[in-house]
Amino acid sequence: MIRQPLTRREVIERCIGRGLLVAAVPMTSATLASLWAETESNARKPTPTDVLGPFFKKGAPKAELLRAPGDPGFPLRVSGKVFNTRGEVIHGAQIDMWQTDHEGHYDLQGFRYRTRLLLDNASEYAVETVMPGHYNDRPAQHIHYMITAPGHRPLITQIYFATDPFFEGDPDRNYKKRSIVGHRDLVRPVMLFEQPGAAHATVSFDICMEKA
Amino acid sequence: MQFLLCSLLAAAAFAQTLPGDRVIASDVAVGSLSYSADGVDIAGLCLDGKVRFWDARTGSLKRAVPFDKEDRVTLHGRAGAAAAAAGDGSVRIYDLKTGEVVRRLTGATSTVRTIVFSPDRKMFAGASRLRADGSENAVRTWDASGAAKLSLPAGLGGISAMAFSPDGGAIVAAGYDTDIRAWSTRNGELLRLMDDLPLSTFAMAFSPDGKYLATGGADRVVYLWDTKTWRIARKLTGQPELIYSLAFSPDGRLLVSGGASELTFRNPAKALFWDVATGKPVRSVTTPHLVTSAAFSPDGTRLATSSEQTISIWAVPAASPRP
Repeated sequence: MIRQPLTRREVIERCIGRGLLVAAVPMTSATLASLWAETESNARKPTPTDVLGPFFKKGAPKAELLRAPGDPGFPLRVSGKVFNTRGEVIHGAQIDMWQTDHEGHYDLQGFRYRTRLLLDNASEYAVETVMPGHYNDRPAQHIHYMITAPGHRPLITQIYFATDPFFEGDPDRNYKKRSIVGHRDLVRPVMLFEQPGAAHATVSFDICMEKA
Repeated sequence: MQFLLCSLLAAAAFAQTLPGDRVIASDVAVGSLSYSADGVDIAGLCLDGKVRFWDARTGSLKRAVPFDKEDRVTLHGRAGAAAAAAGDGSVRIYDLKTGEVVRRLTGATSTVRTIVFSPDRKMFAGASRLRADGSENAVRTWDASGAAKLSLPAGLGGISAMAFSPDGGAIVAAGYDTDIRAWSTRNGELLRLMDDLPLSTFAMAFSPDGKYLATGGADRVVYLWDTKTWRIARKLTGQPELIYSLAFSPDGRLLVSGGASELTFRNPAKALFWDVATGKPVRSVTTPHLVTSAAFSPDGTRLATSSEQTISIWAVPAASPRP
């Protein structure tokens, strides 16, 4: 006999019938089923990881404006939110971000283009920076991330930029080049805006962390 | 007059070449280096997976021991043994004289990346991934028979340098998260979490008497840690590049730090000979690219450095007399 899989509503009705599911607020099985469906549709895959690299520096100050007036390089805003795998925002996440300057140099003496953000309950972050440079030993532009949050596995990753000449205009095809990029999802689309006298780029990067 | 003589001597010590300096050209880039116990051969772990042996005096290539290209091979000091963490998940210890497998390590070896040997070769430690993505790591140890012993959580982002103390009583590992941990090999007790440094450590070496651990990395400073307290005893500053390799002379009076340009490892870099007693460099030499590895001859009269396809043999300057 072939069994048809149960619908969400049937599962809920059975559980209610057997006393296995008791709602704090009276709800119909239809409402519960739609809440379930909504939760499932919000479910997220954990963000792919990437290497930490040799140039992490502990103790970066909190800064949202990494670009100093007059710094060379294309202005870039990177923003996003930190979620768990159920699509809920995570409280108390901390993000270390670090990158090279426009010319491809990491600041090893100080903390230029390095920040450690403590996110509030909305779990949103945004930094104003410049497009990182290229350097010989790692020729794809990238920004490093290390994210920690209570009750969650630490996440180490990087983002790359779809506009980077490294991808030759086709990240889908070229992201595996020279084994530099950890995962296709880490190559982010770049939106360009032109304001009078000041073009800038924005990149969105939401982060999803697994429970510890 | 005395001042002039001292200046001349100092200038001579800093000259780029001294009598006895020479170069061995390799067909393939060379990683870690080691002299044989009798000082006759120099062994180099090459990028093609082979361990090559050159005559240290004439520079002629004597033989090569092949490994699988996928293997991650570690060369033991004095060139007697090599460990290979193979693509199939096994870790084997080879006798490089005979080319035979002398030990197979047991337990969770599939995640092991790098192996180090205790000086007496009676213990092995490996950097091991706790997660497939390499975010969380452990140091695992094995005894002389190859039986798994300890698994020690070792921070985030991968292990950047690791070493046993000369008496084998401690294992130390530095991580790319900038923390260094020292554990007792007897019971796995964490002797100290050395979270003092803001940047990563890329190289470490114990002084032969075990009193100091030297570390160096992205901040260009050589740190000498007192191994009684595992706290920084002294800092040696002056390396112009990132520090990528470290080696103590057999008598412990000199320490060599090898550099790597932060712009690209292809740039030339310096190796500095530090007088441990005074904390001053007594000789500075330049290699064509980064200094991947530095190894003293057993008699302490020569230092070999590897820099891509160039092995350089340098005359070792005199250190201060013992107090």
